[in-house]
Amino acid sequence: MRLLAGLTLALLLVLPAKAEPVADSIISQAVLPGYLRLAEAAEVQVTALDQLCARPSQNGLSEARAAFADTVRAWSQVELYRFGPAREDYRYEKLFYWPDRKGRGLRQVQRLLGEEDPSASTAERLAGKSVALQGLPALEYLLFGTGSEVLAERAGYRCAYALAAAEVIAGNAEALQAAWANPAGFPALLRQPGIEGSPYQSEGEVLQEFLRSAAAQLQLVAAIKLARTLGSAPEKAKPKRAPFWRSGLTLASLQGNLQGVGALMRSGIDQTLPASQAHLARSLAFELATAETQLAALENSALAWVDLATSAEGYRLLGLVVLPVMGAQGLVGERYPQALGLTLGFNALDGD
Amino acid sequence: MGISRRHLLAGLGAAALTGRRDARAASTQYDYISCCKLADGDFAVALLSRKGDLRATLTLPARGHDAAISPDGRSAVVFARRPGRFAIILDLQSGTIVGSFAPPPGRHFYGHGVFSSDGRQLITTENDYEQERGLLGRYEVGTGYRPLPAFDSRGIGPHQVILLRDGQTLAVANGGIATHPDFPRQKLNLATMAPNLTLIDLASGNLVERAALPNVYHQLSLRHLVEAGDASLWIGGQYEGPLAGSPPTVARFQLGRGLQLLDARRDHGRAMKGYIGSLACSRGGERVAMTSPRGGQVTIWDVLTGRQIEAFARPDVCGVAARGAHFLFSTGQGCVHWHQGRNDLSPIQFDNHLRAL
Repeated sequence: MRLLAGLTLALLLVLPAKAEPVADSIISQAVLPGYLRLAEAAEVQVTALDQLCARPSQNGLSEARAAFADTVRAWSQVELYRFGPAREDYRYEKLFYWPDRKGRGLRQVQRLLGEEDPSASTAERLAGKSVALQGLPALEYLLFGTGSEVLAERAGYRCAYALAAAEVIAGNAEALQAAWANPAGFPALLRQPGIEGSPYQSEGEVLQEFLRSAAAQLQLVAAIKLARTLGSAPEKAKPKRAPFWRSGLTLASLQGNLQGVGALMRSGIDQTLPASQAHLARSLAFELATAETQLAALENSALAWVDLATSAEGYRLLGLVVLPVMGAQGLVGERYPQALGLTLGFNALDGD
Repeated sequence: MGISRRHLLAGLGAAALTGRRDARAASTQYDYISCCKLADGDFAVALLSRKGDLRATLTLPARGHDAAISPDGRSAVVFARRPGRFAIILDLQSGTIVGSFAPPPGRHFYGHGVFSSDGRQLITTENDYEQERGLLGRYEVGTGYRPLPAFDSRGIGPHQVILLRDGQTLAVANGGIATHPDFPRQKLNLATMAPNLTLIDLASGNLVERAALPNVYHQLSLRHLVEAGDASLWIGGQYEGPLAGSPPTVARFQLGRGLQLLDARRDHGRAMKGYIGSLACSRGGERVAMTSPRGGQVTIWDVLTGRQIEAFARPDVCGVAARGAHFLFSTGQGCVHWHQGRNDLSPIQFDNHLRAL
């Protein structure tokens, strides 16, 4: 009897974590706040551009650029969520058409500017055009690229296009936030795996989806945004492969990416680790904090991203950031799934 | 008795389906080939018996994908997984690596290829990545796989190419997804991807037929294909759109009728998770098996009716090949399954494709 009571107690100790789907806390503590920040920043950005176009000034341009920086920071923290609502209506690509490998998107933006194509100067019509024309990279070029100084002087086509882009971005951010806030929408499929229409058949699969997203984002930061950009030597670095170099926001966006992963892991996944594996959460927090601290120090170094990546010392320091990010990736991609009994299959993980 | 009953039956079945494969009587001690990952983390190619006994493993420079088997059954060429550049030539008599080659500069393999029916040419799917153009690489076997001028695959991201049983027509699943080695395995054009199926004349490279699904399905990447007994082509897709519900994954092509989506039974469709990793046709040509590693599910389809007739769960299953009237499956957990048996070879992890020799 005492044994039975002991067992029941043990079960009770385990159960509270299980009673509420882990998706609930992930959505309410990480995903939704992240999209809410994005939607708010994007709204502020619309206001800033509206004012700039109404009264062009150097100050107004600075405000618009600052609002863009906030939007990029907010976006970078939710960049990891590539499934669910982000896949609907190409919202992910509309917000963040990157990498733009052949400068194809950029050339389209430049062509619009050259032709002053009126169809890009209202949000309704811009939203129906190529994904490359309406997201953050396009707006970055309008606000920071060649010829952007004109925005401080006159409210011409460039400002109208930038305002339209800001409105489209705000619309997509709002749609994503609404989709994650709708209890009957995609969140229901995560909260109740196995119900009709859910792509998930168990809570484990839901956890896997989030873990996979986090691991993929860390891989993207380490292997592509950093390692591939840096190449094998400072003189071989290709800093313009990284996103947001034009606005000087590359380091901020990388920090945002890492913060987004940290927020996700802390919002529910860490708590599902068995007690014997709780050290994984501490290791992950340590790796992420190390990388974020290094990136923040580099951001304060006053060297522009392009100069940083191509200078001997900056290159060395950026190379050091890769290590903790890879460490974090190993934890999220392998150790966490093992600890949670969710080892992703060799074929299922990364098929072809 | 030089010819076993098994070879005779296999030969009959093969003749019924393709006619050209009966020349493979020059068979070896190996029945199946698959790329794999070994316990020590090395990537290799495994040669198996029909009961999944491991007869040999040969280390590869990096992760491999599929193999092409010469019509006489004496050689196999194992391809690097994309965006790799190695092709390893195996002698199946001795079970040894006898050579290797790479595509011309500026190109990489997608991981699949096929021999011409006279065995003189090897055709591969390749990415001409600066031009963002899908190619069918061609290599002359007799000169040590020297490259011949490539054909245009008429699409981005050609993944699997097969030779139809007429011996003259190549069928290519152009997955539609642009990638570049500068951004390894990043998908660069999901919003505008336009997959298709092309039939290409082997002798001239001329386009014989091009088929695509209606535009609303443009995010279904057409990746793997097999020719069934009635000459229909069965295509396993990988869906890049939103996964809620039961996304489309299976398409069939029939001459004169074009491409058509087929529905799995509801629960099975869901368990496919919008993703088919590999497919194979039974020796008699009457059934097609598809694997969905993400859902750990196999579905079997009837060729004549176009219906899904069977489904079962196998964790991390991906490789599939014909085995007698049935199929042999391999999994990332190192298991080989067949009609009434299995063999556990873990800690080996079998990679995406399994091919009968």
